[in-house]
Amino acid sequence: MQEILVILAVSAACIFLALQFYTKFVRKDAKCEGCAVGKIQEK
Amino acid sequence: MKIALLGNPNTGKSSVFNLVTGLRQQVGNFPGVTVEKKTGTLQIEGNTYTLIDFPGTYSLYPRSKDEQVVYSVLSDNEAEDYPDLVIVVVDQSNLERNLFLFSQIYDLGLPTLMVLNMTDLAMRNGIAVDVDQLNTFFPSAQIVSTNARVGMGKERLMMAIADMANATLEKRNPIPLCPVDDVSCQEQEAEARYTFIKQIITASLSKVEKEKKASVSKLDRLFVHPVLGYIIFAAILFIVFQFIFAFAAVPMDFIDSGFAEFGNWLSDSLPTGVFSDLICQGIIPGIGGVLVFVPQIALLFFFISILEETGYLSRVVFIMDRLMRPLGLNGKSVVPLMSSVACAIPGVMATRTIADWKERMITILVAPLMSCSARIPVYTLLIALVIPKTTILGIFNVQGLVLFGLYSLGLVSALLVAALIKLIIKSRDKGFLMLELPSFKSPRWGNIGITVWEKVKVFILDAGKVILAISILLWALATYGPSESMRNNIAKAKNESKELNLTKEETNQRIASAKMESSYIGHLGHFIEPVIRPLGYDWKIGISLITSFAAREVFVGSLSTIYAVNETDDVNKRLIDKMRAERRADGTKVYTLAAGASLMVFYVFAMQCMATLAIVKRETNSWKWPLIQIGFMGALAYFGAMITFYTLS
Repeated sequence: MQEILVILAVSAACIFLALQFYTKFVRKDAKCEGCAVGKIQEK
Repeated sequence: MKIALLGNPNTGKSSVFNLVTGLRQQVGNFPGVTVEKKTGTLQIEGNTYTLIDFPGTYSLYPRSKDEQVVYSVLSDNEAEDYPDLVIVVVDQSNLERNLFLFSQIYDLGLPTLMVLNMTDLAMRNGIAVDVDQLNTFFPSAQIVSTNARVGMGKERLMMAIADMANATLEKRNPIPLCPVDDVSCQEQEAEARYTFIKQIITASLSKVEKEKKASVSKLDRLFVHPVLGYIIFAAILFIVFQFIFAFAAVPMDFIDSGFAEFGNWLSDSLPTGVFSDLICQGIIPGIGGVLVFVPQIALLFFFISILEETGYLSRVVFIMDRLMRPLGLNGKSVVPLMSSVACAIPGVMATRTIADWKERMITILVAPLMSCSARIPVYTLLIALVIPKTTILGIFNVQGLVLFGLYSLGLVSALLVAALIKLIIKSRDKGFLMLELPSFKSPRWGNIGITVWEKVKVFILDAGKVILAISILLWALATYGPSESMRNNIAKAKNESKELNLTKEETNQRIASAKMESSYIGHLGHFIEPVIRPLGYDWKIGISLITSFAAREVFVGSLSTIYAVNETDDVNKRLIDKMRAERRADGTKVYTLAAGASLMVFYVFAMQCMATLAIVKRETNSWKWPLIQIGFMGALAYFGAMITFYTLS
């Protein structure tokens, strides 16, 4: 039983960290079109 | 019902927000941009109202990304945050300028409520406002006098909100507003508005006897003095860091011993097994090791809030602007850099007020060099570990002095790096800093309390979740490993112990070390050890350096977990005691003065923050700049730490 709980906890931790990485670095932030300094440079 | 809270900067808008919402607040972002959006709820006569705190602005026409939010929301009645009622906070001591924004919003035809704030300051400056007369110029609006900083006027304001919610609008003859990009139309509008405002001022404002004006200007002569201003600022910072170390000791010990007791109780109560080990050796030490630093973070924000509330921080921005110009930074860079002392994320976002992209880029690149609050757990742990708890001249705490030195090192390096980057990237335009120096006020303790609570909450919840996940992973990686190698190493440790006639306790410690070394994390640690050895670190520190890329404070949680797994005697011994007892294979101490100082220097410079990198990537819209940032900050950290280690060895 304890082993199963450990596997669940470790899996949850891995999923949480992967999601954090995805939302911060990979997912396109469509709502932030205007906030990039690159846009100012393009102008 | 949605209520927008608007006003010029420094009109006490936040105080009004706190006054009516109390602790019923939430922080998020405005849709479409990452400008911070604070919302709060209030209940009046059984009805619930949502109050949205908008960024401070001088006019409806935006000059920065923050001000753009006000324009975007008010000009689009389909917008998610389009309000049913607008509250405009007006500084009574500076009515002429504040009425410009108010008259624009009033002319939009929305139900508008004017909060005439800072009545005490107006009286001190010899200004009295005839509210009834003022109301005749804005017949559809309601006007309420408050002094939100001291909690005066809450009932009046709540009543007025309820009245306005049920009111019908009278017909108005507005001064027409202009298209956002038609500057000449806006100039004509400004002229018409100021003519109208002059009539209002003549009819509504009267001068009474002034109070205390002379003492304020005398104080300013000191605080913004070209030499004394910097000395006073350095002295204030110095005293703040002394206090942080002196006052935080008792609550820190309390939390530390509380976690130790809790851990012991859990070890005794839980059935033996791997999940119990995960809780006692992974989660509790990981979380407890970081939560122990909450008092120091709370104290730092307590002092920063006092400096901000009194109006002193604006003077600091003013004198720092003078210091930054010769180094080629825009005066507007001061605010992002000062914000970065709390956290680099709002600091990087605050660069949106800088119009020139190169100057903005330089500010973004150097902002994370300012020592943020996440470094406090790392700094204070290492200082307590390797710096003696002594005083100089009987009063100056050496540990506080070192903390002050680390913050100063961050600031000086940010300025020097900015000057260096400025030589590489030439800027076309010269920026300017337009800053209003607010009057000195006594701090409002309620506002300070809310700020400290918000910052501590963010630290515990945001950092806590990541630390919890990393503690669980680290525990698993430190407990399990390739079975063949683990079996061989344990057998080897047992044989060696037998040959050396070691005691039972020494044998257990040797077996635990062998298990840790042959675990997955041990393999990874030994793999990276050649890279970090020149800095004076062992593989366990190396692992903590890697995991703290997620966030700097994870360093402390990771060390807590790694040492707890390695501990055979008392799992819940204080982290600092475990670190003091840590020895290399040859019996020498791991945490010498040289290694500790080297680690401190590493954390001053290293870009160990995933969230900041993500914000830089989003703000610059490319991977190039965050990668450059990791590169130059990493190089500074590595070589700075190496030089420190070899100098002090």
